[in-house]
Amino acid sequence: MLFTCTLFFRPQPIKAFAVVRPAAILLLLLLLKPFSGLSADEPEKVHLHTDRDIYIAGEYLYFSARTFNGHEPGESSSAFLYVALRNSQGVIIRATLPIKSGRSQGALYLHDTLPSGYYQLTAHTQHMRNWSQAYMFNKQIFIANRFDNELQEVQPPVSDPAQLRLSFYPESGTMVRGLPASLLIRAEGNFDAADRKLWLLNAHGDTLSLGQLNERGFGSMSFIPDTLAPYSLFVDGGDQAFSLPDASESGITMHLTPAENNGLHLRLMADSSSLRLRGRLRIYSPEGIYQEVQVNQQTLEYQLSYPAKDLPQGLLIFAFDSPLTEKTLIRPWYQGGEKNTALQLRSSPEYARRQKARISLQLDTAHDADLSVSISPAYAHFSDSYNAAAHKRALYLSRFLPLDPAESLPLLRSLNPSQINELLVALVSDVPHEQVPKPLSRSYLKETQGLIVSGELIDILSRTPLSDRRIVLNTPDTLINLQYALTDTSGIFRFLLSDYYHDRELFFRLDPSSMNDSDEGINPLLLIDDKFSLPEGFQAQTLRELWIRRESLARSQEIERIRKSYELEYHSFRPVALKNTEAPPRLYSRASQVFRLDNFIPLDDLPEISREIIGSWRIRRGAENHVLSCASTRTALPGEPGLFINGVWVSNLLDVMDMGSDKLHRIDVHNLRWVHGSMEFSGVIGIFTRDPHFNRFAWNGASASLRHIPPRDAGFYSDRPAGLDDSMASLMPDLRQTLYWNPKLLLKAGRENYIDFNTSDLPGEYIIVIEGNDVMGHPIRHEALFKVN
Amino acid sequence: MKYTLSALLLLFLVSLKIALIAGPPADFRHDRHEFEPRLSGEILPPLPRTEGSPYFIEDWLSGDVRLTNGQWVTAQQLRYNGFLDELIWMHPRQFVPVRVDKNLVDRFVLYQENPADTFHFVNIRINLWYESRMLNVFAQELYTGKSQLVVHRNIRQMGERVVQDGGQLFTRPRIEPDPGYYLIGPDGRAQPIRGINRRALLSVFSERRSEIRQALRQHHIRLRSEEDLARAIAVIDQLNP
Repeated sequence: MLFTCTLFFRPQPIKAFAVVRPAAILLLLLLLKPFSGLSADEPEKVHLHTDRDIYIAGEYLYFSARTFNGHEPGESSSAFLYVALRNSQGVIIRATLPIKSGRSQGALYLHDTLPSGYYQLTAHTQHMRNWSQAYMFNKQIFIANRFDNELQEVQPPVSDPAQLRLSFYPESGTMVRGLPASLLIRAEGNFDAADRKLWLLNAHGDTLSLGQLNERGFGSMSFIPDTLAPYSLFVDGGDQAFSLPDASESGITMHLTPAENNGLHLRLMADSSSLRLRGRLRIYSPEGIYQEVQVNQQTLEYQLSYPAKDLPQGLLIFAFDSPLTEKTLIRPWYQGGEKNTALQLRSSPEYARRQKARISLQLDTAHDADLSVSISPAYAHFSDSYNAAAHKRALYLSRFLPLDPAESLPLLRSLNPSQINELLVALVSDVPHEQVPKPLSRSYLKETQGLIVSGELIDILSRTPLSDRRIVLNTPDTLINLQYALTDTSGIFRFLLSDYYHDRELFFRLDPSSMNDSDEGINPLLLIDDKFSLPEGFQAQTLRELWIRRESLARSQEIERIRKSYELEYHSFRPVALKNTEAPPRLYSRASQVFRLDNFIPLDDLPEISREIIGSWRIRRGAENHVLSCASTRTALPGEPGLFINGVWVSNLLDVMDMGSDKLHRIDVHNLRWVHGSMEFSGVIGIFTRDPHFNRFAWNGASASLRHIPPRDAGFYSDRPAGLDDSMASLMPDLRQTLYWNPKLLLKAGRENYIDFNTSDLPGEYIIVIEGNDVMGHPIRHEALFKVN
Repeated sequence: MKYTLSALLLLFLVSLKIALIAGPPADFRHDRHEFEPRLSGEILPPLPRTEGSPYFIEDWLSGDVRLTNGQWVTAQQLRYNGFLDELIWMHPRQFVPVRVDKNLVDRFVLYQENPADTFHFVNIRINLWYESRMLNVFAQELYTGKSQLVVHRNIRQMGERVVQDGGQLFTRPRIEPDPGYYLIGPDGRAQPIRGINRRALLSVFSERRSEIRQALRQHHIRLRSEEDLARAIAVIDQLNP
């Protein structure tokens, strides 16, 4: 899809203004460059390192998160991260986590009842929701239910040779007879093309070249086209011959190949009909023209070698214009060589079961590093599981290549620089235009000071937003609390929630007094935004490698069944003190009068209580209305007083009218003309029931409610079963599949650091994955294998 | 011709750049006021007319209010009524005066055109001589250091005056400023300073009289105004206890 849509062969004829074009392009690049520096519109980014890619339901999934701004390493300013696990049906597990200094960590419990299948782990800040979903973190994982013996989701790849489609991309967009050609081949369709062999035959049936498709269905081939066209390409397992595009009789070809020590070799060749090779070679970088070379060879070939030090890091576009050919030859190249910080890891290749093990780590840099470390079964990691460095590289490329990030990011972030360069053969483009990601909306604010809950007020029928209406928020409490927000022109309202609201039910109401006279016929609907909702659903991609690992997966299921039967849990929680330190947003500090009904003789219902005890509050039964007398003027206040039941604003008394002293605990009467911001109350009545869970809060109008779940401590990985001391643990089987997980390992530069862990009772091959960056932001990634016998 | 075109292109791009830079700020931080809390209070019923102004400053001043939960409500029209000892807020929509719920206010600031004339009021608990219990009052900060000097801008009824209005005789309370000065120590306790004179000040520091007398003499402080009193407290703050 990616290639059919965006990577295409595009001829570049020389036009009349070709002479001034380089200058104009350079000028444009120079002028556009500072814009990105000024823009505050950079989406934040997040990357998660998980302990594995394959899990069994009933286990914990551990992750460590890093957030950064733009495409450069650095901290984001959002204070909250939203991590979700979803399948094609929707979000299943959600977690809100605090971000401190660009780092966060957590664990998701994968419920026992999760059906086997592919799931997607997503992570984003609210700020990221303003941009395409492509910029959010997402990663496909597989979860097997431990009772699922069939594992129907793990199936061999289906191969229908009739549905195989091949696309061909000649390097620099040209194939010329008699000149070496390099061809990128991409296989698509419902056909398992991974690792298939390729044969290229000429019209006589002679084999010209052999190749192989990789696990992503890409392959490359080199050959010299001659007059024996047409050429046919055959794929192992396929049932058809694919015809290659015709080679032109004359022209020029351009080839780039990697040279030693991250250098680059360029080769330009003209066909024999040309007398000599001449033209202009330009090398563009995102900063502009990096180099321009006039080629005027007496021969038909021109070669240049660039050592790595002579090339800027990042994306380069090689463009060659020649009067000998009508089109500009284009070849993009990603010049890698990011400043990766090397890590020396020393580990024994083998350990025994239940052995104390030690790994030694040393940084090849003068800077300390912030890392996350996992040691888990090797089979439980997908081969193309991407890392933070690759993620950042993909973000960089998506910024400069004319590709849709939604399609390019998932592909590019699982590739290394040399794999990227193989694919860039297919991209024939003008110059690297920097594309600063454009926000799709501005609805989602950065949550820097606290959690923001937002929503939208619309008319049900016309779906038009209703602006400048007042939305009131309160929560059940023994105090009357209230805050409100006004809807903006998009009908959006927001509340910044202090920790007072943690773990409380929030009630949102449209204040009817904020509706206009012209609102007749409008049927308002109040929608609360789901912070975990993503516009695009998850479509699982069947992974071929899972079929190969099905035996390991079945073994993991069995281990998990045994672990559960022993009730061993390798996850612990810290004791957390409840923290609700912030004061509620109160409507008033002290009511004019407070009536505690225990201090009076019991009465049967509310009208009787108001008449006999309160006096200043009169309820007219039947009409079901009520008025208050003003405390200061002794005259009736205009209109009905604001009515609150257990701190929540309600429309009427119906739900409490029949409650007597046995059900009601306290009544606050605040009989003053009271304002709160732009809201006015003809006095306030607060009714508090004896039942703290009373929740009939009737409202005649648009309303919504939600339970506000604050960030929680997700617990931590433990190599000892929870609740068991060392002596007890030694008597139990050790059934840990993840042997070690440390979401935040601070590594000191210039000295040896150690990781100590214990192997479990489970033999097999394990992989150590270390990921992170040094304090300068240079990425670190290291993997090492060992065996437990 | 080529140069003219290039110059025009350059001019266009530079204009485009300027236009983009001058565009609306692309920031996703919320508007400063979006999450500000609101003031609560009673719509003030008409007050009896008095001889003399009940207000500390007669005009409405722009001001900020910090609530007891630590949040600020900014840019409101405020004035302080010393007779009621209440913060009065002009409701921005209904244009009616509102007596702000005093127990929800921690402090407020009144701004004048001259920034030096900014008045900071704090909600403090003091023991007024004519009250049997501790009271919450708004007091203006004169000095804040290790200790704090505040003045309660009290306006008291000093008598009554009979006035003729529309052919009828009315009795109106005659009110006058009666400021009360308080020194709030590091322990938070407020001690009254009964007047702006050396004796009143020394009576607060009865155990350090000579030391303080010497310090005031050394700094040439003669207690004649609120500024002198504030300077004196600043000097005392510098002395070792």
